[in-house]
Amino acid sequence: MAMEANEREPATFTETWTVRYDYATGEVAGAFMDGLKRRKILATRCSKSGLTYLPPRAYCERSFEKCDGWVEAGEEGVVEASTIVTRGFEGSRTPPFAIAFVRLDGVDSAIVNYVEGIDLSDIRAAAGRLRPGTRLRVKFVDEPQGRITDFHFVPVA
Amino acid sequence: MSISDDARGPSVNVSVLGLATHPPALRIGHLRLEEMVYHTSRAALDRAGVSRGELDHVTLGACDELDGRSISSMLLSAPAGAYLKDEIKDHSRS
Repeated sequence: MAMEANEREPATFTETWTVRYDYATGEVAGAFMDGLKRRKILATRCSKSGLTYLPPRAYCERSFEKCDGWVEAGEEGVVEASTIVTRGFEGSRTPPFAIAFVRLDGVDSAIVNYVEGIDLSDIRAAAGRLRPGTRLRVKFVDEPQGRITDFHFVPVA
Repeated sequence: MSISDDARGPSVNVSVLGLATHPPALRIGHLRLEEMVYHTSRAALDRAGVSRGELDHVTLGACDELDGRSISSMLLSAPAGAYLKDEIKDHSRS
């Protein structure tokens, strides 16, 4: 007896798409990356709103003016949000690893980066040590290369 | 903007106060996408004589694949002047 169309096993086929993008660093990210090479974390400032942006932005989302100044962020800050990644994905570090949005002293927005120096063998306990409001410190790698991975966060001793 | 009905159905009258476009190019190496959006949006507002604070709504055209980032409209709303504004993404581009 002929098989009805809706009784057939669903047919699938596999395709792989590889898409490459070249991202311009733009008006402010280049200066930010240069600052990292000198172990400085630079934020942009809008004199009209008084706000500072880190990662730096070329414009102020409140005043809608161009940011017109630079300030150097502090070496410590507070966690605004954090998570511990327990499942790997393409391009990620080997899990588990921790990331946090940290608002560094002297700036008004938070920047995300890895958190190191925390025992991740007990995920719940580790998450408790990264609660919002926890102070973390910036630590640079030995040879900064002008990349966001030039620094990470560590617990304040 | 006014809406009226006639024999062909409802119609919408739209007044254009200001317009700005960014010139297309195969490669734009000196600006990030968000910066292009900011400069273009700001130019349109300036030509219209309207401040960001006077905006009621912002409609975005964004496409993750073309823009090269996921949830592109999330990144483009602020440079389009939509911070804390009513905003919608035109899905016909995605």
